[in-house]
Amino acid sequence: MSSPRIAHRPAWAAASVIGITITAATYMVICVVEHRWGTFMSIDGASALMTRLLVAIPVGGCAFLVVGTFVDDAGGMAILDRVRWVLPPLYAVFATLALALLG
Amino acid sequence: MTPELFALLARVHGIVAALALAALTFPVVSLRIHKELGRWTMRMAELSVVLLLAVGGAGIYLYGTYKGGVEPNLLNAAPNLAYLFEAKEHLSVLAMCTAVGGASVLRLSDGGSVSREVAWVLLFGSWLLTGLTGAVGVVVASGAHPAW
Repeated sequence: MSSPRIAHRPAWAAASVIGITITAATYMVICVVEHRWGTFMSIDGASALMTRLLVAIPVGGCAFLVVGTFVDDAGGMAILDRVRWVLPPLYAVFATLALALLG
Repeated sequence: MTPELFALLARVHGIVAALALAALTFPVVSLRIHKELGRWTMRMAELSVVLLLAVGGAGIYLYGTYKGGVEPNLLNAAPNLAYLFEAKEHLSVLAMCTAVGGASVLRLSDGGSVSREVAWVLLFGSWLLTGLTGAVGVVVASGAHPAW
């Protein structure tokens, strides 16, 4: 009997790209808000880093579930086809922003 | 946390990060030179995600002690290094995000050319971000030692 395999699902592959990118974007938005206006939120007992992650990961997780649930495999392939051109400049902006938030 | 434990964990954190960077190199190169998605490409991408998440976990564990015990003195002695640590923190989150995304695409997609290219973009981005984070980490560690 063959071992169980995860079915190839382009919709969920696209969902993971969208979800992870929205997680990163949310994290960076929180960083910018904190940098501009000071720490604007604090979850009890959590450090600033954990607070950012505790907000960003659920937001990205919701995006992952929404895209994975409501987009079919053809739509998933279309998303993957488009995001490959968007991802490099987007993450370059995030990285530049991370370095620009010094001081 | 004692300064000795902090120093030990900080070194382990850096060494595992270097291993993650090495592990990431395999899928980044393999996805460029091979037309088919190899089993080891996927495995190494997933291994690098596990290593990066372990590094991130160790970083979060060290974070409280750094903030309470190291950063205040560092801000007085070398404020630029303290600010650089903030950038390292953000870059490491981006590195983990891109690695998780790239490995997920490899695991979930059909292994076609579009999927492999998206995975390569994400994994190569993670490789660059991990390298940049490591370089910044080395600079910060030169001043942010536990002799507070």
